Amino acid sequence: MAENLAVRVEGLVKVYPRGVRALNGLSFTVNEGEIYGLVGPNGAGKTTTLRILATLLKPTEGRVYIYGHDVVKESLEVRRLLSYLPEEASAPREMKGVEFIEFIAKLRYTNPRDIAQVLEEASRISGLGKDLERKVKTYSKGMKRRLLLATMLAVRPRLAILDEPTSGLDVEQSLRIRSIIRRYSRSLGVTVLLSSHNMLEVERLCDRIGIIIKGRIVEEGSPQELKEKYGAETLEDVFLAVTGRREAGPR
Amino acid sequence: MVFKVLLWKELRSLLLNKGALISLVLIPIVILMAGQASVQQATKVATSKLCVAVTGPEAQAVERFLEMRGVCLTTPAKADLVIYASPGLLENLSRGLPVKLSVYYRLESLSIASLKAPLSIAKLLAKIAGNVSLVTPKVVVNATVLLPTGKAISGSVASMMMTMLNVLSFPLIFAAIFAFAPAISSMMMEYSDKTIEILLSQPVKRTTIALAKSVAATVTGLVQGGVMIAAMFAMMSEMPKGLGGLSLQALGSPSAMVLLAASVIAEMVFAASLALAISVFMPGPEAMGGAMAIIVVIGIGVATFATSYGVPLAPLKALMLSPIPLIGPMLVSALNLAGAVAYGWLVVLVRLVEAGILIKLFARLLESERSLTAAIRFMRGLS
Repeated sequence: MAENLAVRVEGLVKVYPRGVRALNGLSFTVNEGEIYGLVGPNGAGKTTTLRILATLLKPTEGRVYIYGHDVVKESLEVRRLLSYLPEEASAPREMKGVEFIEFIAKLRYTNPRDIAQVLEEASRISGLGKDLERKVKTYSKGMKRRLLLATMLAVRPRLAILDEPTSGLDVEQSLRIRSIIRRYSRSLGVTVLLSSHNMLEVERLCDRIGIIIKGRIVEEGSPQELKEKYGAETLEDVFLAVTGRREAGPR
Repeated sequence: MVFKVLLWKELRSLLLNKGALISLVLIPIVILMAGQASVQQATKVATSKLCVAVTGPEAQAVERFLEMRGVCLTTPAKADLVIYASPGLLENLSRGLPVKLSVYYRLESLSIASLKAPLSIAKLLAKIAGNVSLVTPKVVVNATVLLPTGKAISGSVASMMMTMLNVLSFPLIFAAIFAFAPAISSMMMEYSDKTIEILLSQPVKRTTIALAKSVAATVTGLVQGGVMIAAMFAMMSEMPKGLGGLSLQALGSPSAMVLLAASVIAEMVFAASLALAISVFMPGPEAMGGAMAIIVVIGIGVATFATSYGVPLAPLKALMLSPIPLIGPMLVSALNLAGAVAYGWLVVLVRLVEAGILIKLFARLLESERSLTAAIRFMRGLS
């Protein structure tokens, strides 16, 4: 039923002004409460898809519904339901960590108690402690990512859209970010749609994944299902088989 | 509520950063230094050329006094200024005591250069009287405009008109040149800080974001313009009181001045939006640099236009020829007021157009990842 779906994407097409066709009839669904991963090679259309879902881009064709709301016609309502963490995002350099959390909270809530709750939760999720009193420009890349991710989750969206959440981070920071996504998406009841290049990350985090190539979903399922289907030991092997870089195919 | 949150964030980021703070301190210093240097230079030039005529009961004695000190004397018809030598004037001049003089301008000399004359006269007379201090001049000069009909306009109306005509244009132009920066930097900071996408994905209307940015840029421009105007006031305060001195009373209508300044700044914000639009349609750091150059050119052009429209120079000269004393100045004052009101409306209109452009711009920027990257690269290059 549509009501149980967090995301419904139907025949999505995006052609950029210079004629580049980024999406070519993309369709998929994300169930409420699950962590769904979009994986694919560079230029496959992952970021474009997430930007359309976050109402930053308009599709050329097709429809997208977030909890039943059309992203084009009801964009403001859709933005109330979601949080978006872009791949290359940061917080304003001159703001303190705590000020950034408060700023985002105030854009969503007017009740001081709600704002205080977001602050408390973001502080707990990020684990930044006293560092939140420092200006963002003094943060490392990993700290910035934790701040942003914690803020995006603490505002309690119904859908969190995370574009390459661990991109450019070292192993330790990546593990920390993954742990945050896994733990808090469950405890806060947030549906997560993420994109990643990291197959290990996707395998460990996601309930279901969709492999996207040239703007289309070419394979979809849980990591286990896909591994069984392709007789592969790892999701990486599945990916290589699907993208045609290795001689393999469905059993 | 959301608008207030966004506005506060924008104001903080625009005003409380090193660049803004440095400019708020440096700009007045530069204006003061440059202004004082130019005033001193103008005084030097004007003083050497001044020719004076003396009339009144003690004319002969004063003439002798001035002649002995190398002052150029001539007939009233050819004089740059006519001194009415009232009883006691010579004694005061000799002792270096304050004197009050009426300085007559011939109509054809009504120009920016003629405004420097009171200062030159003050300096000349102060020099004659053995006092060269400009900070506490001992000569008080009142302005009187001599009309071809033989009648004279004197007092605060003439003083106000002439001050607005010639002096107000400078702070406005200064303000205009510097006010485009907040609008540009507001957008650029979003790109360089990589916060634009997070901001646009919040449950806030794009119009609200655009308006908050626009208002914050205008307020910042007004603050910077205000500091510059204050610096100009400080510089002008070293001139003798009266025509050459600049005071709020002399300007006649402070609200008119604020409206004029706001209109110029609004134009600047509008120009900044245009420049950003150019950078989107022609991606690349070179285009961005070109766009910023265009802003400066547009800014100066618009400021000049705004100043001459708000304070109509050409009609004033024609009106001054009115055979009935004070009709000209009154009409000019009315025109100034009308100009200020018109500019108030223009500000509103520009604000709406600008908001529309910004909204379109946001959407367009996100369509083109290349221009986003180019903008970031350009900002990095600048830093």
